[in-house]
Amino acid sequence: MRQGADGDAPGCHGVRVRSEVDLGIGRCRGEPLADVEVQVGPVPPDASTLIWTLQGRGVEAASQRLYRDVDGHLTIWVNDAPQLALSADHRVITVDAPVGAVGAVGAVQAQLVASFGLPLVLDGLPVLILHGAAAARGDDAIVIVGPTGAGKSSALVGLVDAGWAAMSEDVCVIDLAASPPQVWPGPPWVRRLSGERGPATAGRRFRAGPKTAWDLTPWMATGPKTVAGIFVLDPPVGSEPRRTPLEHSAVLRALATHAVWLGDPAGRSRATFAGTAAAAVRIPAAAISFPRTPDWLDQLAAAVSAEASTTDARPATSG
Amino acid sequence: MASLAGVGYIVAADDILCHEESGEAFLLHVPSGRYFGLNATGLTVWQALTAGEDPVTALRRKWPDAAEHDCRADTQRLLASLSAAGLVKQRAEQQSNQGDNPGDR
Repeated sequence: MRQGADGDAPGCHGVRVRSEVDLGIGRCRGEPLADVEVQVGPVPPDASTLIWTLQGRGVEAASQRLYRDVDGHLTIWVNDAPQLALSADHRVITVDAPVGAVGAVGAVQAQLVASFGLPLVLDGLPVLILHGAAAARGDDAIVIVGPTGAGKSSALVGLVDAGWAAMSEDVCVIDLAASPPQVWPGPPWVRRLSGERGPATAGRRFRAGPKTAWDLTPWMATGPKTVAGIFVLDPPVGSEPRRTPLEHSAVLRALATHAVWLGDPAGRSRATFAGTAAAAVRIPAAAISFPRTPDWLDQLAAAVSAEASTTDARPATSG
Repeated sequence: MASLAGVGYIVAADDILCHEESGEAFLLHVPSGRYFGLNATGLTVWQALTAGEDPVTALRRKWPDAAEHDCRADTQRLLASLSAAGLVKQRAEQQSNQGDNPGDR
């Protein structure tokens, strides 16, 4: 157990992790939403009931399947091997140890914990989990959602280069019990396709299938931040940047589209309804789009800055 | 639908979730996954329907200064919209009385 006395512990997405090994998924500072123990060891090949299959998306762009066993515990398979299990009481995650690893898990396991394991731990809590990127300026954060390929990770890189703190690249956990709602930092990386760069001075962290994960550690926000705005990043339309405030109903529909739900797909709309409706009313939102000019990320940073506080950007490590 | 004579026989459809937030509400039609927004007037009408109450009475209780014919007109319009969206239905006994389901007689 590596938890510090000041509430600084391994973890991300608001989940504090106890583990004997360094998972490399970031730090969780402040009062966490949940706690979980992560063990490294063999994951039993349980596969009772198939809940969902992700093909060519998610971790490593591989096939991922989630099974629920008769006792309620969950198992995630990557390709043909069980890689992560979550106990029925959501208190223990077990991840498979890569061959040759000593004292640390591999990139696949770290991504599985951050992208699936910890969000599953939060099931049933008053949170909204969005597929999107988030960045912070001062005490305020903005969340950017949009379809795959819309430019969310590019936006995050652009905002970090513009002096913002990184919050999360792919999964954004928004605490709806907080008033106003807060988004928690995710893992300290941003995955980009080969040929796409990370922040200006970022180092490579690991390979993730066709993507390179760039290390965001120097720029990570150190705790949850107020969500000052949600932006729906639409494809470019015309030759001018567009920013359109959204009515609550439109926000709800957008958030419902981008809500992360890791349970039975048939229960998705019912399970995510309350969270998306609450967020739609409590958080201002706008649709934005930018022609892909060379300076479009600068335009994006300027467009979303109005939502964040006017506090001068500061090094993320200072909090 | 939604002639005013039928208002008392209109109820919320099955499998509708309602979430209230700061004076407005959203409805989820679970089978289709479609969402609908209700303003304060719509929320009052919806709450009356789910409570088995006359929506016009509920509106006049909440806004006593509103003219009854305005409340009736608003209710009619909203019920027509809700009906078109599959969010309300006629009560079973009303359907039966109208001969929609003669096998139940």
